[in-house]
Amino acid sequence: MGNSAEGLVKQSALLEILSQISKSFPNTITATLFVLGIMLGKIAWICIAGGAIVLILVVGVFQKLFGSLTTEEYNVPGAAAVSACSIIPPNSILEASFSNIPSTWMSVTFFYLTYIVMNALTVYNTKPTKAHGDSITVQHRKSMGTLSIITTVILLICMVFMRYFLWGTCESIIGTLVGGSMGVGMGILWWQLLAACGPDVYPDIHGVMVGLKPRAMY
Amino acid sequence: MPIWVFDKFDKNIIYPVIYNLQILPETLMCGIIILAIILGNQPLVALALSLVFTQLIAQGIGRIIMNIQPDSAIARTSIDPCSVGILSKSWARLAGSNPNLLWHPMAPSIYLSTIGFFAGWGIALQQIYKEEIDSGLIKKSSLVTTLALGMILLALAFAYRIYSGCESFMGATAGTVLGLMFGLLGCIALSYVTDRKATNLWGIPLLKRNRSRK
Repeated sequence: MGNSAEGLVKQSALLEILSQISKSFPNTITATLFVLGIMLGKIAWICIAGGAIVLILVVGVFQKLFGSLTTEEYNVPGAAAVSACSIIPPNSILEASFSNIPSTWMSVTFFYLTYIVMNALTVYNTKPTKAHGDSITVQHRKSMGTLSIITTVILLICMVFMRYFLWGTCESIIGTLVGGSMGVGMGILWWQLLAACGPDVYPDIHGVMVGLKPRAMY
Repeated sequence: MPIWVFDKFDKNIIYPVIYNLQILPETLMCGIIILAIILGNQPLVALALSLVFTQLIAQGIGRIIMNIQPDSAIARTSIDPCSVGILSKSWARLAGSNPNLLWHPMAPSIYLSTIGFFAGWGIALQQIYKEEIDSGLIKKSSLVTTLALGMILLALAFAYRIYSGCESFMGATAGTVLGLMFGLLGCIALSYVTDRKATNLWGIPLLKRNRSRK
């Protein structure tokens, strides 16, 4: 009896941890990239977090526009829904409402997915000036790019699946499609923008492109 | 300027920043692990493990102080805004311990030891890879700027924790010093042991190693 009660507590605690990681995923990654970018001097991470913040603001504007054009049916009312679905818990539960068209969670998650995959593909395909294509360091970088693409896709598919199916009321099909499309578009656009500013430094979330400069030996 | 502008600013900008400041150590810990997995970045794993070690040491020192002066210890409930977090209480329940946290004003702050740790690690990186920075592989000006911003962030976190009454001055100072020291010395020690490979977060080519190859 005691053991089953203890098991139940642990099971619910594990579910709480997983749901918290999933719910706060966009905020966690954005805050980590921004703060660690500043603390550890990773300019690329600050730039990427900046892109996510811009996207959140744009999505917020679209949510307001969509909310003013349609009826309340697309807003999920009530403090419980907001606290279950919102990435950041509401400041005041009295005026709380949760809008999911376009979905902030989906747009930021897809933004990171697109950005990381784009950069991983560049890491995989770019050839260094001096090293041979079959050298250990080049193979290492290629395997890093491949591994990153695989883990990113698997992790984010799991996250999106959990968000969409397990927290069914938090997301709608229209919000997911519109938000996801905005995230993918912004991911591509932001990566291209940063690459135009300096391909070795600004878009490189993986932090390996600086090693491909002509002065580098590997 | 109309009041609703301030209201919107407070709701959409100030509140998310304060909320993120409240949960920062847990966010960073969780974020580093996720990033290490999806980026396949070994130096990030080393950083996360060193951070766990620092937090354990800070907790251990706190426990010792609480055993010496048990009367000054205060129990914080799970709804206390000072101990708010996204994972710690669920983690405590999973580990079978009480999620209510004991706090002692003299114990080093785990919050500030975490932020101080990153600041110390950032300072150490600039010393360890000084030769590479001087050779122009990375812009020195941007590193100096981020270092200054990092120190401002640390000071902001320090002031926030004191101002919100979550830390005593003594505990906050002890936590900051402990974090800075462990970040600085931990990074230097790790780079020495691994020939600067495990701390190469910037992914820069190591000039000394290249020279020795020639």
